[in-house]
Amino acid sequence: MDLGFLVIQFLNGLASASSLFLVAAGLSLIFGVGRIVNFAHGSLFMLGAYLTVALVPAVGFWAAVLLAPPLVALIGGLIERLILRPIAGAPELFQLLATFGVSLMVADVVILVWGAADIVGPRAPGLDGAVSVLGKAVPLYDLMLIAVGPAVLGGLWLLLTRTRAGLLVRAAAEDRDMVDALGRDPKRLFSGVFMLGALLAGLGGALAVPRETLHSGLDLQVIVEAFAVVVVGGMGSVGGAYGAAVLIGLVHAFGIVWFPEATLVLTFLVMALVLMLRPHGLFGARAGLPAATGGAAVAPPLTGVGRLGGGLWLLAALGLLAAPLLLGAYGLDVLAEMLILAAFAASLQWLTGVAGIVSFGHAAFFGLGGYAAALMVHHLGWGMIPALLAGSAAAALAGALLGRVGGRLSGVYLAMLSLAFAELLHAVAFQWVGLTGGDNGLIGLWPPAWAADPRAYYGLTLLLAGGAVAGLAGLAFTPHGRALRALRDHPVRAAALGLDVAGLRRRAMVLAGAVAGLAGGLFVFLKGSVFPGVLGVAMSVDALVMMLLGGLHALGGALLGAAAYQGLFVAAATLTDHWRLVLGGLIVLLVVALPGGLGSLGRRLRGRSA
Amino acid sequence: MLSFVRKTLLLGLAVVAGATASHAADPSAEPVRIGEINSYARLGAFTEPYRKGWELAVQQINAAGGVLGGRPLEVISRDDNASPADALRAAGELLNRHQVDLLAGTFLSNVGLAVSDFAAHNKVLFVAAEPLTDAMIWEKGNHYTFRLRPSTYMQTAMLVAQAKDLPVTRWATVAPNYEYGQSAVRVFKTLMSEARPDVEFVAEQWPALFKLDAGATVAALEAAQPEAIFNVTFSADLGKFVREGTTRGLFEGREVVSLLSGEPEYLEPLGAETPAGWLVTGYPVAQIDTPEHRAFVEAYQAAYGELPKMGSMVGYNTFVSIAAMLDAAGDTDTETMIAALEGLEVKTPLGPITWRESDHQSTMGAWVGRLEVKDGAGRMADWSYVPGEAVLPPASAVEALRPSGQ
Amino acid sequence: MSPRDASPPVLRAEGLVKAFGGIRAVDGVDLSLDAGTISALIGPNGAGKTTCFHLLAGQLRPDAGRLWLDGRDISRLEPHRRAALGLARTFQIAGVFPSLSLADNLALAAEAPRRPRPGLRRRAAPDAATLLARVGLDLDPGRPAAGLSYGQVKRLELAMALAGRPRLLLMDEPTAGLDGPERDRLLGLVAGQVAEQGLTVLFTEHDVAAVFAHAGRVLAMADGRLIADGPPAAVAADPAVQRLYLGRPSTGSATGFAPSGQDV
Repeated sequence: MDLGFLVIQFLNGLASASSLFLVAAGLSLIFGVGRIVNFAHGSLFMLGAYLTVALVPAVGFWAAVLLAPPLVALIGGLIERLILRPIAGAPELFQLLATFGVSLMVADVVILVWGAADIVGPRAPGLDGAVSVLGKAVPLYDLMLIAVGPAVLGGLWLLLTRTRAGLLVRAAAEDRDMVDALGRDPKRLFSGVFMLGALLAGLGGALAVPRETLHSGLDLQVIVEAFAVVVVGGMGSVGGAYGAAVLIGLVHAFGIVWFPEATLVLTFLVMALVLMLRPHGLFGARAGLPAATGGAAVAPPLTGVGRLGGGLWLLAALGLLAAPLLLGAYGLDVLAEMLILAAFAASLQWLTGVAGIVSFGHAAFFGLGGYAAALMVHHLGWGMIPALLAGSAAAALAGALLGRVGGRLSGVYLAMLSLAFAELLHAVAFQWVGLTGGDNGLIGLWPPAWAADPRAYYGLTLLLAGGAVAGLAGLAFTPHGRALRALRDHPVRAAALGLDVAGLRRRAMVLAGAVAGLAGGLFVFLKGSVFPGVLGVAMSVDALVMMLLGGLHALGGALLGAAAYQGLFVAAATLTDHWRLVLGGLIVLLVVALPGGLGSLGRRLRGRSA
Repeated sequence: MLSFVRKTLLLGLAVVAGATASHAADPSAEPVRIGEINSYARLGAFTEPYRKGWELAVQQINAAGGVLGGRPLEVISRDDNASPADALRAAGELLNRHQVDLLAGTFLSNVGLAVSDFAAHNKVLFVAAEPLTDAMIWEKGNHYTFRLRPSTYMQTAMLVAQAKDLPVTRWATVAPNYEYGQSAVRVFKTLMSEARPDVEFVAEQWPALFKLDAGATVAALEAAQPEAIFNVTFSADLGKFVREGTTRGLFEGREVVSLLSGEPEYLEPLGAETPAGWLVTGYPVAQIDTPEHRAFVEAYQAAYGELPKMGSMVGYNTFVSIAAMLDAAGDTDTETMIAALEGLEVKTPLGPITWRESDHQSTMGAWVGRLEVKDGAGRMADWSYVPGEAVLPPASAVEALRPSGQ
Repeated sequence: MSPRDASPPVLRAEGLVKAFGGIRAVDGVDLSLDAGTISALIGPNGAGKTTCFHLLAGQLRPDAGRLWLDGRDISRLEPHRRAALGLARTFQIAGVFPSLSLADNLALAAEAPRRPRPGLRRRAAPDAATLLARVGLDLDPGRPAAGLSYGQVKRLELAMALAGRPRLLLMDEPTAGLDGPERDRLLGLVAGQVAEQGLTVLFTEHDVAAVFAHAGRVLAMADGRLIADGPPAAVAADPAVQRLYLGRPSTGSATGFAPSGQDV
């Protein structure tokens, strides 16, 4: 391996780093000031790229690169003004849900406007050639990109250190109450930061045009990588984002040389490693004592259902019991799937709504349960029930592991560690064809004869998944559930009173893992197969969406959320190819109109009539 | 949007025209229902042309009197969200709620395999259109599943037949790291090593699907100094790979052998940047001048105002085959239909194809040729059609590949 | 190291140090508290009182120094392990668990020291109404803690700290935000517990009158160090303490040594 090659890979790494940095810097700033995980950031990047391509014929490449980012900033401003501001008081996760809805919509709008076909964008005039560096060709455009990263970093640094607005941004990133103290309208400040972030994402997209093939899946591709960069760098730290982007860019460039088959996992290995060694990222501010108030909106008290609510739930339970008499095979399949997804969502609700632990990679447990059950049947010839139990146990074990490894992490960092964990598992399932069948999955995993009838399998699902949902709801009222809710409200105080906060959190993760794993196993036998998608980001997002739709703190909300989400999805997908636009729009509408989730509808109505 | 409106109008006209023709299918007759599933929302670039293809076929078939003595074909189409789990839900809906007589479609290999397994489990016929994986018909093949499009193995074998005569020995491979890429590289290495014991493979690159880090990958390939490269990347990865490779001079003085890159779906986005000289499988749609292909292209252009793509041909041939099978079977009993499709010869725009009894693979072939740039667009040159029979293993060899009892 | 005499101190600290960045918030503090006593920790804002409390109760780990509770080394123990050994505390900014009912807040607090990871079974809970009445709260135990006034939260927090029947109670500004009569009532209640149960108390306080009325001993802190330690009158007369408070409206005024506010 000659020196020239090493230098080339170094330059390649730096060029990729600049692209990554532009997206990650905005994401990091938005999180720092607004505590919002902006899921639509990848969409803003994608819009920047598509707008640039659209503008090139009219104004030429370089003018397009300069024009597109301000347009994206305007779009970002609209999103902030119309969607995020009205729900500013809602729990932070709802803003994630709203931005997820936006990203669904943007993906379909891009297809409607620019078509579904790949677009190989125009090259940059003047920079479409290459220069020889130590005997190897290096594209001129890459050299320019390498310079852009530090230049933007420098600009941001000046903005943050030399202007009053920048000072406020930094103050807000450290302590949100500080902005109020400094006598500045925090809404306007956040508006500005959101637009700045959108501008950077748009610039990232515009500059990516000569290196990227444009397609409607760019958003997801970019956002996951950008999350990794932000977390590794430390949330809210712009300099950290650049450092992390360089680290990940170089890891990629040299990973391709030494571990060509492992490129997918390298990013997330780095992320997991960094989080384990430095829980607040490489350059993140190390918070001292967690804030006394925790910053989050106060969870509503847990109350038993009223007479009306109780009646409705009883009716729903009777309906579920009577379903085999009323519905055909397809209806029962759909209902069984809904119950399984409800159990999946309920397990996330146990973690997030009850114990206050946010997970962005909940599919890890669901998919692990599914794969463990499938592998037991496929490779070892186990029966369905032992396989289901093994799946649940494997996921519970993963929960224990994640709890042990991530015990020191707080809030969004643990959420990101879980995302890295899920992505690692997904990469294994996707690429280790010998064990998992890879993308082709494992098939032929149908229930045994006694459960083959759709009614029988539905019954089993109702018993296990429905039982898990009901069981978790009941558990919330026991001393164990009470202790979890206490540490969610105030971890420091809970510990001071004598609660073993870390131990309780681990238990919550084990239980959530067990239930999600059981759901995953049930899903596998319902579908007769398992594919890497059960471990994917989309699956994790589904769980979040169902939980939030149902209501973060509403008992049984998971059931409502799963029913609503699946119902909406099935209806939209049956009616139109553009179901993402419809579903995304509905999610945004629901979040803006009903930030407490569907489960709060009853409470709201009661409140109004009282 | 525009093309959608135009398509709807044209189709509407065609339907009206068909309905007034004297020999059209009797609309009052019980239709033959086909449940169709594909990734329209997520993979529109590939499934839109495919949909246009089968819509054209269905419209022509119904205008010409339908099937089974006057019964129209009715297609109930569902989106699978590019997810096997969603495809299975759709399959359940189509079978149990709409009582379809058979299932058809799918693009992704994993979706195809999931529906194939569903078909075997529920004892319903499934005519898979586009999935490439060899597992569909071989190690996971079953009695109920047939597949139209030439598989990974077939297309790789077509390339090897020509690549083995190239005066090079040092090969590198680049393929997306998942089942399709791994299978293609495995088949290529096996077949090449059999044909040319002197070849050596000096580098392998396995970019994650749709996450190709083009600059670094190209540099790593270049560093290994291969004489030739076997490429399996496609779609978004292909565009990035071609651009970086061209800018960095990777392809200068090197042979590149590439799967699928000659299909219009992949060539069109590349445009003037199409890498000239690559040896590819594909579909030189504008240059094929047989009467049956001309008729297909003309009808397609009349309906949609554009040239067909590979998917269009696949969609068209799938439904033409289904219609031929129904007429041969005489009724819609699953076993009767399967028996009719086994060994059935069907006339298609690319010539007659046979649905093999041994492994349920059709003998639809592909075109192999070199890429060139003409008038700012990519196309295939020096191409020839390789029929499926030329590369498929004989029935006796296939027996061993399929699970016993299927 | 610890000399084991007839009645060892409930709490003993040796050489506690905690620095944030370059600032040594606590800089070599030694102290020892005897059973059944009430001591006050005083000092201006930023003296290190709250940091000191965090070190004693385990919210922060000291950079140096050791701690013993009833002769047992607790320097490396997690906060909940210290609570299990009988150490309770309240916080400068009072807070309870807003989503739980008052009764659940109290039941949780009563159980936690003995059951750090509660299970499914409900144990007999202390009578919430009685515990509430003891701190002067006449509220429905079934109501959620959300929506209580600050003074009510302050008292509920104290009730919770006492519900666990601790050996040692650390109170960080227990009377901030309460008016004069309420202050006396609250501290009187704590004094009663000291007499009845042999409770040991250390509290920080800005109000001189309250310190003089209830504390048997005063420790004065400045710049992270203890500068005086002894009976209230002696400490008040200490030249170093006087220097520290020079220029402030102190002696005689009920408002205390320093304006109230947040410490580090």
